[in-house]
Amino acid sequence: MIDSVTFSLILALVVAASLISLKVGISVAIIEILVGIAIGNAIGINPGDHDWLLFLAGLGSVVLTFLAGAEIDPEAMRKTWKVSVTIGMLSFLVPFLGCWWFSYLVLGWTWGASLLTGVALSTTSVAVVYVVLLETGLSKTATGKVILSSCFITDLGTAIALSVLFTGPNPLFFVVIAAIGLLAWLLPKYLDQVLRKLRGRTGEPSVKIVLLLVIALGALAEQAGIHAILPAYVLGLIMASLLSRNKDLLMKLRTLALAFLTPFFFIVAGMNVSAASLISGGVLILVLFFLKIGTKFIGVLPASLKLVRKDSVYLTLLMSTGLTFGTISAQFGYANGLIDREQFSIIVMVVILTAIIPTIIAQRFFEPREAGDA
Amino acid sequence: MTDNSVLVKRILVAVDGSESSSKAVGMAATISRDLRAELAIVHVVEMDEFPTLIAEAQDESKEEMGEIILADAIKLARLSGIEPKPKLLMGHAAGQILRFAEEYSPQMIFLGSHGRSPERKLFMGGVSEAVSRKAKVTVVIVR
Repeated sequence: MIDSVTFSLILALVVAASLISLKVGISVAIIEILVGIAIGNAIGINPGDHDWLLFLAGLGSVVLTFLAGAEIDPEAMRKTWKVSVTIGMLSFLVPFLGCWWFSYLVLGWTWGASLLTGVALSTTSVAVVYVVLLETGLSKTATGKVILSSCFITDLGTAIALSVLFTGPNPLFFVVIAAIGLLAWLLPKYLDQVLRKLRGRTGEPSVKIVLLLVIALGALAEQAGIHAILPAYVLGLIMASLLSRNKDLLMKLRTLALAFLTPFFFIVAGMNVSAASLISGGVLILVLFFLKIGTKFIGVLPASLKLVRKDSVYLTLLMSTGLTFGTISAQFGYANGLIDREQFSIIVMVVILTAIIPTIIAQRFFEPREAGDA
Repeated sequence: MTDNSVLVKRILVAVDGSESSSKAVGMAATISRDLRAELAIVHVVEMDEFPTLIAEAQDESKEEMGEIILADAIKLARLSGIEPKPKLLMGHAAGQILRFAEEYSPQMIFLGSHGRSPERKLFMGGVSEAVSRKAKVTVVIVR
């Protein structure tokens, strides 16, 4: 049963986080996590005691992942896929292997916790990189398209790893793959016509159809032991062209997600963080932070140097950022007992720092001076 | 004796809709007219830091507001008899102003002293400070 007092309190926090975000000009997701940490530790709300809260948070992460996938430019991906896959996989694999081995061999964390750490710290924030490409005038160029497509591949690597590494053999796995394949074939052909017929109808049937697809595919995946973010992300990629032609529908989905669903995900992530663990694990947080940045540099800088030369350090720093997929991975690990609360707190704080610090360093010290293609 | 005089052919003024940036436009327009220099007015639509979705970075309401700020600045410059070149940019204000300055090559840059809120300055620094520190030409910060 929904506890109306807790629900109201969290809605109040959602509103407060939005207002703070407007005031400081920082993404609302970060503010929501920080507000969650503050309130969760101050009054001791345990999200685990409220099934409805965990459900909303889980739904928020799945819909957010779908929307992130839907932002891809399929045409650019088609044209640049060879280079993008190479750069994107390097950007995923090097930090993943580095952080996994470090936490297993040096920190002595369990096999599952180490793998999870590798996955959570392998991510790249597509949105942050997009802003850089826009600023440098690269967003419409071939170079910019390669870079952005590479970021989508990195996140796809994270989604695949999160779904495949922590699941045992299950015959339903192939059913999910077949369902995704079938949707990839059917949706571009038929859904466009259906959505066109339903456009502007009261009751928003178009929104409901898209939500049904995302949630039903996620439910099927969970039956197969696969994290729902993989099908959600792939479904987003499949529907990207279609949604870009249905801007009104996309806007409604974003409004629903950002106003009501994703705040629960980020606030719950914050509430699960233990302030005491952040203090005792301060050194480890810094070590993992530098490890992620260092391994991203090893994985991305050579390709970055070849592609953009002058702005390569700037770009590599921004490809080291990551928030959404890192937080989703940590939350998945905690919910499934792969990591304990202390490890969760440390990983989430590293994820937050990697979202903030590389951007600040990039802008203050490596701000490019000239626009143009390399 | 060497001649250190600089021929001012182009002036750049960056606006953010604040009172001090309006004063900067007035001053830059007057000087442009007197020196017969070209005037460019830029406004940078600042995006939220650390966005989670590309959509978050593409806030259309901020772009619309940016167009209004730029239109107001153009009207102000026309009062001095100057027809300015407007430019709407997106991203981080200081970096974008500096990037545009590299391209436009002005001899002077004018800015208002009050731009970002103190909270935003805390995270990302002040725009006028960053521009005056990094620009290769004379920067005038108008109070």
